[in-house]
Amino acid sequence: MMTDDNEDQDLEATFRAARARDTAWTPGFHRVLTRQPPTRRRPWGVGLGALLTAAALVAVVVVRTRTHRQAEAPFTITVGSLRMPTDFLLDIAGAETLRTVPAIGRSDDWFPNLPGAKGHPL
Amino acid sequence: MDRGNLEELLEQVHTPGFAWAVRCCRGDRTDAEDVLQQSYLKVLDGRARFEGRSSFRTWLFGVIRRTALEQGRRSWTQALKLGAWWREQDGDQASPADHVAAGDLAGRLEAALRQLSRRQAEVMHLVFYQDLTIQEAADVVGLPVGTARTHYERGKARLRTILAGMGITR
Repeated sequence: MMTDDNEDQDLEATFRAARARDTAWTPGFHRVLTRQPPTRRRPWGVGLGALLTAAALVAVVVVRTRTHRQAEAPFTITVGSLRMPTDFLLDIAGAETLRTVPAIGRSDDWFPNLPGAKGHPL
Repeated sequence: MDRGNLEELLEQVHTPGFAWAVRCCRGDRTDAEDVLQQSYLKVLDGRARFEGRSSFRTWLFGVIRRTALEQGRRSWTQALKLGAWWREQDGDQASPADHVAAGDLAGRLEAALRQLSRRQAEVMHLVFYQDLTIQEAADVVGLPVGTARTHYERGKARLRTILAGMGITR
């Protein structure tokens, strides 16, 4: 594009000089079309790929081993041992008494504080 | 369009096509030959099909650019070039010795273009080297024309500053 701006003439001249040089240096059309594509040797690429693969395998083995150990760990939860901070709200008076089972002829055990019961002072 | 006609068209735009391939490969001529060959084979095999929505040259430039990007993604050598890429991103200036080694105006222009962002360098090349309009350059690099114009303006200012630092332009 020939720019109208006079101040671009310096840039145009510079690029024109580059174009003149490049024209002489351009390889022929048929040479480019029929050239043997260069064999790209990738020693670094192969080495890097092998290293990354090995690192990935090690990472997988480590993660799986850890997961397996965690699954085998003896970790049991008994419901009775769990007591939440608000569980005291569920406590009722005489809860201990209610856990015992009354039986005929053994009212002393059930009502130990009644007068006449075994061991009562009255 | 048969293979003979396609080859004829490709040959007509071979020289600018090679220059564009070199630009897409950041100045690497060997990679550029590889990219250009792959692009030609895509066209001749029908994997890339010209449908006449733009000029043949503009369309081919798009094919070359995509092929260069594909190759860049595939190539493990890109990783080995990381250091060079980092220096470019870091804005590292080419040393005066590099410029002397380049030995000519075109070599120093190449060194200057490498200091621009990829997009800026592409738009600069397409407009000033290939004489495309900004609209055509936008089509080649797949950008809205407004964005391409921004790259053009910023790239021009930066390139002029760099070249002035090299004593090439005012």
